[in-house]
Amino acid sequence: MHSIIIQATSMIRTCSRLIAFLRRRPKFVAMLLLAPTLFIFVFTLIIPLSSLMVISFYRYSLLELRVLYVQTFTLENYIKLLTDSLYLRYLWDTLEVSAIVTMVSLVMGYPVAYLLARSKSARVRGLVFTVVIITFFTGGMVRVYAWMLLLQDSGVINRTLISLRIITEPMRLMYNEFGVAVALIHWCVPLVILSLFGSIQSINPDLEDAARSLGAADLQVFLRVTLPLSLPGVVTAIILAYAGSVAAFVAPATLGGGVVKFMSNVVYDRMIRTTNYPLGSAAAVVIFSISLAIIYGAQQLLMKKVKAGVE
Amino acid sequence: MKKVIINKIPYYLIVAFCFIFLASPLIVAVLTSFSPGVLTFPPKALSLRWWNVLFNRPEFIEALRMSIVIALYATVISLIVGFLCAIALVRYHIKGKDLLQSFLTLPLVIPGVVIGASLVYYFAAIGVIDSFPKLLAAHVLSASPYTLRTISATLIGFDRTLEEAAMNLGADVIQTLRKITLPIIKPGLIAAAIFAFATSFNELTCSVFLTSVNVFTLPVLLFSWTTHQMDPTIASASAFIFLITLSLIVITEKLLGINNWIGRAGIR
Repeated sequence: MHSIIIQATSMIRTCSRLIAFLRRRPKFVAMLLLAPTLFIFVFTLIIPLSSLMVISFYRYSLLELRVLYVQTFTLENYIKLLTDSLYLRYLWDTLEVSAIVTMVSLVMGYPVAYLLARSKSARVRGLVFTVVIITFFTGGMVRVYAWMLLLQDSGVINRTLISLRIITEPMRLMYNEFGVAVALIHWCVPLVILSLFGSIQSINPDLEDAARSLGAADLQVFLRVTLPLSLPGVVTAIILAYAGSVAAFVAPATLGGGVVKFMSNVVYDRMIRTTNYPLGSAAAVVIFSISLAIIYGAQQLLMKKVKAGVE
Repeated sequence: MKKVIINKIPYYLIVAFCFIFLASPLIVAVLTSFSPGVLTFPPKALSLRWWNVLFNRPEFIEALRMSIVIALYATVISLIVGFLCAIALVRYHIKGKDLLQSFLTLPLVIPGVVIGASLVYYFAAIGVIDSFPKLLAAHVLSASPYTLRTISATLIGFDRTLEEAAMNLGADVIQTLRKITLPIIKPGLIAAAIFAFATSFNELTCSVFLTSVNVFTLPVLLFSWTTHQMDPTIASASAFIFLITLSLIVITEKLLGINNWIGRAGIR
């Protein structure tokens, strides 16, 4: 009994010493608090990404039975991705479809964001917000499948049009660029709305009223006042939508039906289907570079222009 | 007055179109999952036939179990880790804090395919064969920026004099944490937890690289179903995932008010 008490008091003493010790060393405590996060980031992000970059310069070889690559330094994977006509087509599809998706999402999202920011009725705002948020948080897989139900040959849209006798044969709405684009637009629109909403809301409505009272028509007010002032939000929306679609995987993998492929699908095919790690890694590095270029490069470039324009 | 309304017709048309565009696929999927025979929309009668088939498929039950287990683990881990990190970032002077903060949002910026691809090779190289730790690591990584940002946002608005008062009145560090700090930041923690859970539960792009024949999550199962066959049970499975996500949103709305929540989550 006695020894337990002695042990307990010595433990308490050690603890309080430890706390006093830590109090005096805030830097050490901060490092201690950061340690788990940094551990996770280093071991599941930094090291894997670095090794992905390294392996993208290796040579694929079926002779190496265990790993299927030879450790050398070669650019052949990148050369193949950027010269082979099939891979070039996939890269072009990725960039082109994403550009269309971004533009359409912006045109569709802007009015809704405007309504969300400016509607006087709390009911309308609540309804719009709820729909946007629910779509935003519903996973890609579910949404893609929902689109398949609508776009199939025997899907809702085709059957409705046939029963209305507008068309006689079902239209091909998926397993092509159109289907992929539609699903991606569905993914981008909530993103666009949420990033535009804030910057439209922060525009002083008096400015619009002033323009209107000076005789400007609604369209003029929009083009001369609202749109220029909301440009920072527009830039963010473009960046998020474009970077998001370039990296899209689920929509092209399902609604592309093996015909339309994005670079992400090339990564998956090479890594998982044929275990060609070097080529798959190179494709992943290409996507990674494109998205970094969009997010950081475009942001720098466009934001500067926007700021210069506003001033 | 009439002219004003005519001018605004294109505007309202786009808004209405966008609204239908956003809402219709999900409504169609949910309603279709209740159709009695072949998948039709609108269903002629409501039936639970395909839901019944779905819940009798062993692979669905297994995937559901795995999704929930991984989401729970990922939520708890990313919550604890995010909390510690948020305290360090908000309350301590750290050199290069801005740089560190943007570094910690990297998982949001880096495409899921890139993370998935890098982890496939990496885990093979270090000899991790079991899919469970792989998936868990990926999910923790993708959920942690959300928990970190949500909790940081809560801590920034925190009145620290409350903690000092508790300390002055003789409370120790643990007591202050339990009685003062945690109760005050509780809404932020709940939002972060729901955010992390929803992220993990819906995660596909990264997971698709890391699953195996025995260990797979619900979105991955759905993915392989849609790419291999068009089966009526997929509608019920999608509707099921959608309804779970929906109920998470409704719970958050009831607990916190959704405007508040979005502000905290720091959606750009």
